[in-house]
Amino acid sequence: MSVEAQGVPGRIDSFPTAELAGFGVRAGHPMPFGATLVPGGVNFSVYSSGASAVSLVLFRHGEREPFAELPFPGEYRIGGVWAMTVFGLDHEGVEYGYRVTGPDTPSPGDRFDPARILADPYARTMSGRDVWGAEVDWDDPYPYRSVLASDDFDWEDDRPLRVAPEDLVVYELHVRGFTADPSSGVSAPGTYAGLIEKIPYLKALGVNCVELMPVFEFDEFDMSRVNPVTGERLYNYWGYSTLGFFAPKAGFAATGRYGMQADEFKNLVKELHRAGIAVVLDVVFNHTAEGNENGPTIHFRGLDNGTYYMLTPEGYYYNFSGTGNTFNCNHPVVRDYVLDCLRYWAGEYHIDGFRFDLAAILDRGQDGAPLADPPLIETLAHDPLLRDCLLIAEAWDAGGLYQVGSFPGYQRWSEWNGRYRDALRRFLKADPGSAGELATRLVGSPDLYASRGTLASVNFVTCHDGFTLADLFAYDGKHNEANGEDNRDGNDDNLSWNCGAEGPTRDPEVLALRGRQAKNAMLLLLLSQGIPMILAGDEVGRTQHGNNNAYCHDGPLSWFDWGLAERNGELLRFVRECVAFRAAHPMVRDRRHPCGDEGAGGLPQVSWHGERAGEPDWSEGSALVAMLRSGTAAGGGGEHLYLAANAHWEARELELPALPDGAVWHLFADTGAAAPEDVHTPGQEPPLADQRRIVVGPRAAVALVGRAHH
Amino acid sequence: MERLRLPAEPESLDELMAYVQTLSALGGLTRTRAHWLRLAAEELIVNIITHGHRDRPGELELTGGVEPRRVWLRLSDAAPPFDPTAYEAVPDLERPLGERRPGGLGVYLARTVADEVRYEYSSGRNETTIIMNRV
Amino acid sequence: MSFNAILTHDGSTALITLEGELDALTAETFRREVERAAEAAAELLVLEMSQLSYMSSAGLRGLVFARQKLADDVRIVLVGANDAIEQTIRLVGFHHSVDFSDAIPE
Repeated sequence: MSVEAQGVPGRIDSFPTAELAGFGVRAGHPMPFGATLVPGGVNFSVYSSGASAVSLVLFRHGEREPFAELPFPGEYRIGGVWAMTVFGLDHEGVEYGYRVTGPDTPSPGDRFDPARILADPYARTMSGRDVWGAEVDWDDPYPYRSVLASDDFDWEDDRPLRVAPEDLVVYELHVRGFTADPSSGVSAPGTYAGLIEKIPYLKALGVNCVELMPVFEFDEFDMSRVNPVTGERLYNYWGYSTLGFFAPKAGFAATGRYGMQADEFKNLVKELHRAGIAVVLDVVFNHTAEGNENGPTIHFRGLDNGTYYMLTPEGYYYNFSGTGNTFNCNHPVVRDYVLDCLRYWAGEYHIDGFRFDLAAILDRGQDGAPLADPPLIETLAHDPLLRDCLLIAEAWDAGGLYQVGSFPGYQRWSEWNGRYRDALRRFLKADPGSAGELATRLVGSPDLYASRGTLASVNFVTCHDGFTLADLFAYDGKHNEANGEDNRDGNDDNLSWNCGAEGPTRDPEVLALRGRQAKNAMLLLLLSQGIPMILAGDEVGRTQHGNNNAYCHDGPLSWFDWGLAERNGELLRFVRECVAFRAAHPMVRDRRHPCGDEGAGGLPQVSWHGERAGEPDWSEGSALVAMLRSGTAAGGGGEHLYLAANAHWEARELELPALPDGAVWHLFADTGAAAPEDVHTPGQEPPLADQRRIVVGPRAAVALVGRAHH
Repeated sequence: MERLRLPAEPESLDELMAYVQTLSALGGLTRTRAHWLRLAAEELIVNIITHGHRDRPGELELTGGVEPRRVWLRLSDAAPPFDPTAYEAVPDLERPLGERRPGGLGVYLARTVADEVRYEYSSGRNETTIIMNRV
Repeated sequence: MSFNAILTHDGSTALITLEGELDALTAETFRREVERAAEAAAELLVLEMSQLSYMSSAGLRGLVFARQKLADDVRIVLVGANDAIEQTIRLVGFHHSVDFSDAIPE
């Protein structure tokens, strides 16, 4: 296309100064990195600290051999950046890569390989895995290709939502697994477009934030094992192995075969925002898909191995991620790369936040030792473009660093609170010594986050990694045989309890107890201070049949079975009302930890109780926690919440704390009661007949709201 | 509350203090009283770690309890006897900062902000108890 | 525990913004910033404390250190200290050597 045709006035830099392989070229703009459409052509910029020569290799989509190779003239390099503008390149259907030659005398960490064509670390889209699970050409020497993309999506007036963090209810889901099952009934199962059709479900549930498991381009074929039980191929289904940090996963797009995944993903974000749902991405900067010494050369390794990866003095890969390599996040170049990437997603994709996989690795210096002031963490905390983004750390890594409560948060980062998960699980199975810790977790973990407030704590009982909620109460042990590692993989310490029978059973008592435990967990989670996170499917009792590490299963084991929404409608209704209750009571969402100062009506913000009011039992054998919270109601004025959880196998009669004059106890939830009396719509809770005491059933929980009767 | 026993070394301080924060939460202390409990506990714990166990490894044990009118926290260690309630080093409060020697503040602060500090030496252990009234 | 100290300069004023919990483990960070401020020969040291939730005697020792490092005519102004922290400072008599203020001095 001509310059004039685009309506761009002629600029001196829109004319070539030289010709290479039949294309007009000129020295390019070093910034921004990557391939950028410019008037009349495309600007390519790539950096490598050690390269002695770089050439741009151009392919047409679907063709194995390149149609042109353009060596960067030496004078097109500034510092370590090679930049060239290529004119007359029709960007539709063009794929590109780089051939990089190392120095004559390599350093120990170098892995330059001019026989390979490298992908662009800044590629905005990638091809090669365009359709999920489609058979691939295993002999393709350049299987993952960088693709030119135009940034012309019409966002209309969309902006990141800026939901107040205290109001968030996070819902962790896998884009493909959420709608891949035929029961989803969507027109494009397993895709971004399919997810849009389920937005009404999310709205009805009441969640206002989805945390998407990895959506950066990855290769679902990067493992080569089969299910020993069925003989089926095992996939990298979860996708914690990034190929393209700037590229949305094509195989998650119904339009991936047309290279439209960026637009389809943007449309998903826009539609979620329109529904008031924020989008958090699970990002994996601790390692890359290049693996260890035996892994493939995709991009970083052939550009600047010693810069991008933590290497031993001998040049081997440190493996703090448990996956072969460790991304060198606190190297200044890599830090800038991560920052560029997150800014791109926040700016171009309107993403509302990020959850950092194995984030403790981001604290490690270049020698692997944890840093007191890790520059990457600090940079992200203060970045202007990311200012309103949630930053959530998975505050541990596979190298033994566990930083829940001590992750350097700069008063800004939140953490997946692994101790919340463990405390809740221990209490619900009535482990000795678990009552006191549960109490601390309910009020937002002041022991861990005293100065940072409750929002530092992302509370959860389950997440993608581990048992589902239904399985937590149906299995004592993991059952991962289908993963092909003789049940050796996955966590052994699940704090789970099968409620009397391992796995499926018809015993009505066991089934009733499991149902109650699921409600107990959801009630406690959604009435805890901090940011709650629900694993998709837990609200309808999704099972993985005891598999607590379903990373490799692309099928019914890991997909959302939409039939459950009806079959387990009772649990779904219960969870919905709990989410609604949270929304209706600002006290539960308070950023500050409650204390003994007055909350409302002469009562402290928080007090603890037992069988007798005011007499909590914090002894080792206690299986009872009863909390009274007093504070300001949504419409002003005071209100009171009473939450009592009984993990004992016998019912307990509890004396209720006295309310100020005029206030009356109303019953919001009683997990020991049969539906529909197990939960009531917030605002319409019936008053308790007996205002002085309440019976909490065996392994059950109740929630009351104290307010004026009207 | 269950007891917490950790090596008497600086690396244990975060976890020891988390125990104290938990005790404050379970005791429903006001924000100010929780602050004083934390301060008193840190000062006495740091004193045990840096003086009592400076050259000898050992363990520090915390136990705590909530009573109707008060919260108590007991520090137990096997370092040489040290009675903070008998410690006379009240800093010269009127002397300008620039002329003071560092140190000597911690135990004084702990005794001042706690409602009560009790000390007992028995069976070769220092038993130091901090008491905070709940109201 | 979580603590940050960030030093910035505005003319002859050194400003250290303290956030989080200043205790025995984090006090070294504070001392380091004080040292840097002293090297810059400031005429006024402002400690911004509105985001500081806790300070133990380790923090007080940091103040002693600051007083000793800085010339006698350099004022130390504490801005936005919470009640408990201000009270702690008064308990040990340090209020004679520093000034409290609600706002950063011009």
